[in-house]
Amino acid sequence: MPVPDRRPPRRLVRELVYERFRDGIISGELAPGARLDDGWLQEWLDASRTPVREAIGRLGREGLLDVRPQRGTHVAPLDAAALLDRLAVITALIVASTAEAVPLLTEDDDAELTRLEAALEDAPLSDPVVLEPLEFFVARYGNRLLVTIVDNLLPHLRRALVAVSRADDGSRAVPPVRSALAAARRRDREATTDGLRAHLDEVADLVRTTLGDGSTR
Amino acid sequence: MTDATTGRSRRLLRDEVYDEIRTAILDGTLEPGEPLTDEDVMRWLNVSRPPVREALNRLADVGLVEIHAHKRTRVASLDVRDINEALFVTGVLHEASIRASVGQLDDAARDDVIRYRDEVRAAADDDDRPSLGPAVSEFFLTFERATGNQVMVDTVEAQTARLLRFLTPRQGLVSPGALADTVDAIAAAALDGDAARAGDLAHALYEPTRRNFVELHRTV
Repeated sequence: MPVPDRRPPRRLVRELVYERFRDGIISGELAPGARLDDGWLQEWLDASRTPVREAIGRLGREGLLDVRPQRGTHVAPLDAAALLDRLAVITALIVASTAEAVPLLTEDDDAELTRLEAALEDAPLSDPVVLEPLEFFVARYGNRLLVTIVDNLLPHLRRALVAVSRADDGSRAVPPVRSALAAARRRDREATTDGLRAHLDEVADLVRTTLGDGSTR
Repeated sequence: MTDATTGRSRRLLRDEVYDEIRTAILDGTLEPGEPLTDEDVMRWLNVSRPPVREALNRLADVGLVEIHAHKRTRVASLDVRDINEALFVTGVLHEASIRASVGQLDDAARDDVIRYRDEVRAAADDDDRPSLGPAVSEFFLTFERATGNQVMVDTVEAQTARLLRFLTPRQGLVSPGALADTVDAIAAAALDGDAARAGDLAHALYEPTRRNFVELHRTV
């Protein structure tokens, strides 16, 4: 029997490095605006130059890093105006795809909705589960392009929620998304989209009041 | 030859070759998946190889041709599901942008609404499909730009390549005349400052896209 190669396959290494890097940005361990030196990153991510450079490129395209020739790589600043722009796009796409997805739900989906509802009960704002309902409805609709776009936007939102909850000691309650999940189980399309919209509007308010200068566009 | 005049006409020739092939793809003369050899194009347009190669590379950049190994080139296949998905995304964002911006259009935005509305109508009257798509895109992008939301603009613009072909002749396609009528109605509501009405019209325009997706493409 050949000795199994215990190194993870190359594709997996790339993915792992990217995810570790992205999670460091989301959690704030890599602070907004921080300058990231290639050598330091290789050490911090415990990876060689190629996957690190690749992750830098991808995170640059997703807007989580500012990558400029001659000026180095910086963690993108936590900019309330840019976040609100992203939120406006996410809200429109989530509400529209959820309206299409609700009539397509099955009994299997109800089990997942129930699980999410329970998980959200005591979740702090910084918990990734807070945004999972959005991913759930987008996935159920099945528009692949939409999944990609939302996947690119959500890390920004996750980072914002972590920053918001740090700014007020995690005392802030999770905005009302559980009502949307219950409405989806009743196949009440309107109440579901209304609940999600209210959820995202409250997130936008938190971003505006906690991270912004309080002004609106 | 380095003479300025020659240099200029050379650049024009390159653009001409690009435009000829692009038009033939967008109006359906060249069919999705059809092989496209350098020699065929050289004979067809009576030009040399370099402008043909360059045009094909540029067309590959915008997703209209596919270049495979050994420079085998084909007209990009028409993936109706891809187009449908992009239509859903842009339709939703157009509607949201219209609802958000119609109440606050400045003079420059109003001028753009009128200009692109007229371009859509002219292209529809001439059945000029290669010009119709870009005119429709620009019409709606006016509202995205008016929101001041750069993420909105970028997300819509990123779909331009896929949407270039949404008017390529195929089954169940909305007629250019009907499309121009809807654009007229949206423009009228927008110039009236009636955001709700303009938004509802945009929503209705994309209704077939939503219905088709669930009926034809959804596999989950």
